[in-house]
Amino acid sequence: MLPAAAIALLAAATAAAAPPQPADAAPTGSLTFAIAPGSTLAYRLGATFHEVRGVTHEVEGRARVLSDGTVQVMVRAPVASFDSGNGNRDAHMKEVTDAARFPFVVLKAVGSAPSLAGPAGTAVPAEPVRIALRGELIFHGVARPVEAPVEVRFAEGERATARTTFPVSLTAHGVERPALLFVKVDDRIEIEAGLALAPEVP
Amino acid sequence: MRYAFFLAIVLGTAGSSAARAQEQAGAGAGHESPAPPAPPMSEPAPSGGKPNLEPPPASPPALNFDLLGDAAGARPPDPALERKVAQRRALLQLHQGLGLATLAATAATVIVGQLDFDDRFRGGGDTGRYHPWHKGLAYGSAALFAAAGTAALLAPVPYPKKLQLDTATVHKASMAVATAGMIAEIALGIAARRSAGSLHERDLAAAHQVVGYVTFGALGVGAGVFLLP
Repeated sequence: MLPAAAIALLAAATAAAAPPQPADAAPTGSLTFAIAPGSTLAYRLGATFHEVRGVTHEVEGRARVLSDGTVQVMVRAPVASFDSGNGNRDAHMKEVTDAARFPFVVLKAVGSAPSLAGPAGTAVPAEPVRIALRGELIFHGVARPVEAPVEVRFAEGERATARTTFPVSLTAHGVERPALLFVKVDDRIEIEAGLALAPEVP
Repeated sequence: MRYAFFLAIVLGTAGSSAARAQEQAGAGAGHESPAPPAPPMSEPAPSGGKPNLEPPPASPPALNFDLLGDAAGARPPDPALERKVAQRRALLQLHQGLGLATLAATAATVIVGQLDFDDRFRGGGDTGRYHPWHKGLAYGSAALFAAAGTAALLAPVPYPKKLQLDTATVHKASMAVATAGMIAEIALGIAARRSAGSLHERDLAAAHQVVGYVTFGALGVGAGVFLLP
């Protein structure tokens, strides 16, 4: 009885700690990568006489390469987890982005990388792979189209790193721009992603 | 067979591109303009027809997949929290306005106070012409300062803040110094005036002057720190 309860508790704890499971089953011949620890998502924002950079390490997501070379990507991070080194500013950002109501910023995009197509174990490219991702960014509960050029570099064991930078408009996402000394911050913010990718075993 | 089909497509495209380039160059132009790049073709052009050389419309990306489950995790609005956020925003806007007004009023108070000091103690003739202005500005800036501080203190905190040394911490420390300075200034100003004609008057007025400059400096630091990263 006791071991069974312990196993049940362990299973529940493991389930709670694991990243959310994909709603889709992986198609045959596809290769799925999970966002690994060490990944970061950051924003750069121009304010009065200075620039703000907020970073989060609480990034999760997956990238799936289908057999035809189509790349599907979903990445998200809690809005409240971005740290700009200024607690007051971060609290303000949570206010203007309605972090309690819209807790995540989500990137969902597709691209094409025929050189990555193939089942697990296929030789990975030695050169960086550039993928033009197109999709949508859901931020502040508003989905807007986004284009993100991604550079993927593979290391040993099919682990990879992916980097991208793309602009986002605050007003397009319904975010009221905060003002400092009555001067509003820039509408355009730059999103920077540095993602570590590890192949997921089906 | 497949290669013949591909070759037919390529030749057809090239031929059509060249024809269009000639059309664009116009008769008698005297030089060749480069042919526009052929667009990607998903199907062969109908025989005898002109291929569509316009770029295909950008189709929306196929996002009918889900790798994370409920990714956005949107929650129903919390009216109490939203009310607190709205109150905070309104009060902090007021705080900013009153704070900048305090800074300007204190600057004027310091300048007029220096003129008043020079008039009384530095051979200005002791006319007293600046004193009413200095007194009025001093009470005005103290009232603005108190109102700005009250607006900040009344602002609710809907999202807890991480305690760390940042611009807001420096601002609060500066305002603590400024608060002490405001109180000391008023006390020293009144004391100096009450001891008019005595040997202590100049010392008290000098102390009042120094505290005034320190208070103004603290206000300046408190406002200017927000311009830092």
